[in-house]
Amino acid sequence: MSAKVYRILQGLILLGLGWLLFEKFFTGKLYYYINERFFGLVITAAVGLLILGSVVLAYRKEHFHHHDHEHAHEHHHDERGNRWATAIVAIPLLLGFIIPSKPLDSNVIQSRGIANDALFTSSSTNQGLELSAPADQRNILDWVRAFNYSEDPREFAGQTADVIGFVYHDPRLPEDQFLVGRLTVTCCVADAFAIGMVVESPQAAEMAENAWVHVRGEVQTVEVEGRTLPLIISESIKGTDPPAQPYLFP
Amino acid sequence: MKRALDFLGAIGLGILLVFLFIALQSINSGSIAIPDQLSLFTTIFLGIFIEAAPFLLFGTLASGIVEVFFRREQLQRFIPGNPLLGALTGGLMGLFFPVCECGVVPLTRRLFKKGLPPSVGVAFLLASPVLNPIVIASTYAAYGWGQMLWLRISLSLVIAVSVGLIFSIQKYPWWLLQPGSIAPIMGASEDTPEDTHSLSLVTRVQRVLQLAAEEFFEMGRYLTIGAMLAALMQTFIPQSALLGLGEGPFSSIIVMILLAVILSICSTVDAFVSLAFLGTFTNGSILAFLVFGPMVDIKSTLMYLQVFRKKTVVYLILLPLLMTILAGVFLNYYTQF
Repeated sequence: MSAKVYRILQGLILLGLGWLLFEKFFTGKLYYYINERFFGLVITAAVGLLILGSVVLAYRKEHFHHHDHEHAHEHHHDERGNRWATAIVAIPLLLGFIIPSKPLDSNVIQSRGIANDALFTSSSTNQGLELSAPADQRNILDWVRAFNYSEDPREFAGQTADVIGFVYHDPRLPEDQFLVGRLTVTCCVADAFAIGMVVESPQAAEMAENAWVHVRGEVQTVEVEGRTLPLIISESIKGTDPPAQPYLFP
Repeated sequence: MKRALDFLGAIGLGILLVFLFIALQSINSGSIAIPDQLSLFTTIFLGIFIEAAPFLLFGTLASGIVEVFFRREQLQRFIPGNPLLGALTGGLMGLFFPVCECGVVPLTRRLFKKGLPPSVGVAFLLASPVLNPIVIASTYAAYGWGQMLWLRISLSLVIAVSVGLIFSIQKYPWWLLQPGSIAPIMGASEDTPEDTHSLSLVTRVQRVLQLAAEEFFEMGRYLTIGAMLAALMQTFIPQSALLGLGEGPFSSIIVMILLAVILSICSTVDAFVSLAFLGTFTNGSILAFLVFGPMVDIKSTLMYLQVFRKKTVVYLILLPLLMTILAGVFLNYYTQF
């Protein structure tokens, strides 16, 4: 690859990556990939990539000269071979634009399990904070946290829960129960974990796996394999659209 | 010959683009269904890539700044001649260069080119993804001022300095490195670098950006491949199989180390992720996750190969691995931590 083609390719890939990050951000799809606390960082990087790409394209002439002259003898062999390998960095670009963005769904539970008991058992500093919201405004993460922090989760019995999540039929649950779950993402989807609350409903068996539902009902506790999980005695279950922000961010 | 290759490459690229365009059309119109596993793979891969790319970018910018704005002599004045003090300096340098494991590799290579002794650089490379203000703050946020924070910091420093010391015994330390990483004066084939200090500020900034772009591609390839491997493993190896092994004082450590390598999470946030395993896994194994993960994972290993010779990379993986396992097993068996 001649130095010129190489530069142009690099410049275009850098611009493309910057554009990809912006596109994901403005279409709201960045939520599918990483925790929202990194959005600022990603946007900064997107600006940086655009600047870098422009610099590479704009100053290529001057740089070729310099580059070819300075490095003429050394990685001659090396770089020739490597230049096409530059295209590897275009893979995220291609996958990002071609494969339609899709958030992880309850299918990951098969491979990762439910992590209710493991999450947030630590002496994390913001203890108690999650209870500031009134009962029917808490999300599944708030409830699971509350249950884990509580000395005796039965203190929540009788409160009203109003949550949305996806349906997961856990094989350990009886016929009239299912899990309403959410995925939590701390950093990026590579560390996604499912958490969930048990829902008791006569319609449980009819609920389609993976469908998004809005569940309202009274909270009780239930023992599943020795763990105390939050249980919702369902008063209403309605199908709902997947939320724009598919994961919960601890 | 070169022309012909270029020509073939351009035609190949053209054909690829046409195919991609057709594929895109068919996907949009719904006539090609994307298999679930491909979607899953793509989401995880992009998640890791999007998360890591900013850090890689900042690392390469830092490397460009070091190249253009620092002189060799300035650097060498800071590094003590004594091997122990040198390694210790390397281990603590991260406090002033807040980079994580993606950014540290290009920066370390640049420092090598500026004449940093390999043993000092190795200590820097291994320690700085933990011993830097951002990571210490995030570990504090996750665990508070507890044993976990202090053990993470001290164990990382001890391992990094020990490995640095072990490498300082090398008679010809530059043999540890790839030829391209060696300072010009040490016999590498590179021409004497231009004296950038005589140039105007604008030209120097341009130079920084050009170097950063070049390096972003060089390291970005390995970040891409590493993220793909990690995403492939996550797509096809059920994590629950691994987690089921997590009970024993020894096996839990092995599992958490494997998990750290597979997850390939940035060290700036791994403390939060590790919270998910507290309670299910022994504390020693969580510590192993927090200490070994930042030093070695799939993407950083691939990037190491750009800086060090293969043999060196093997030691860079095995030495911290053994030390982490020993420390974890000791803590699990002999302490109440």
